Amino acid sequence: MEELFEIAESSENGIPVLSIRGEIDVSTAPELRDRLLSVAQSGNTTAVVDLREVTFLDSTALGVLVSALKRFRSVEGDLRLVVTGRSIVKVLEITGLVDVFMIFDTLEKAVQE
Amino acid sequence: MSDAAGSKQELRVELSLPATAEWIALARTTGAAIASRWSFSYDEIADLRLAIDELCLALIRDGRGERLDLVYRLDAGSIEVTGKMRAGTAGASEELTEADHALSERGLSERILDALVDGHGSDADDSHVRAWLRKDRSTATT
Repeated sequence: MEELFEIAESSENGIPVLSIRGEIDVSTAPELRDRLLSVAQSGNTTAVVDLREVTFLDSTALGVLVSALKRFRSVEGDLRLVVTGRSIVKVLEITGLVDVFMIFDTLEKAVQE
Repeated sequence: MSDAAGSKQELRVELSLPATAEWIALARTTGAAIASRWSFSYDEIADLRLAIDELCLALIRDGRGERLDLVYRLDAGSIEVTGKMRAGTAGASEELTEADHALSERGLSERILDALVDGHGSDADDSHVRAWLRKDRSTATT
């Protein structure tokens, strides 16, 4: 089953931004992992993942984000999330990840130094 | 399938899928479609979609079969989903601290299921691994 899934990469204030659209699950999470790894290997210490257009996100997606967060923090950087969708906020809340990630409701706030 | 919400009618739907990642979407979509016809609320359907996804992930993670068999059972007030796969060879389990487990995919999955459904569990024998969940409908129907 082919689900809509797209990752657009941009830069705001010198910070790489991955804007994701669609469902992040066990079949699409590997692409996100590869893109985050590529961003980190390019020498960036901080990145933003924009999840505002994400309609579904499961534990494999969360695992990818947590792994990337650890990688960025190991070099004194960070991984910031932009989230507005009620269902995505709920998943982050019930897993306790709202206390782990820096979460913003707008991209403008997320890319401020 | 007629709308049987609120009645004593029971419904059983069986689904057998290739046990690969790309087919899990069909398992959760099927559950959501059934729950929708059964007058579950929007939020309950969203919860069920994610919970079924996590159930399938757990089975594929722990099993070793080519097929994932799912049964959706509905009665007047709840939906129960049971999954079964051939058992795999138990691998060495990774020793994790409590904090690391909480942030592992397995730990995150457990938290999601605990929060979103009204009951869930799993068991295994020499031949199969099984997992189930139950979601109660809280919305009053007429």
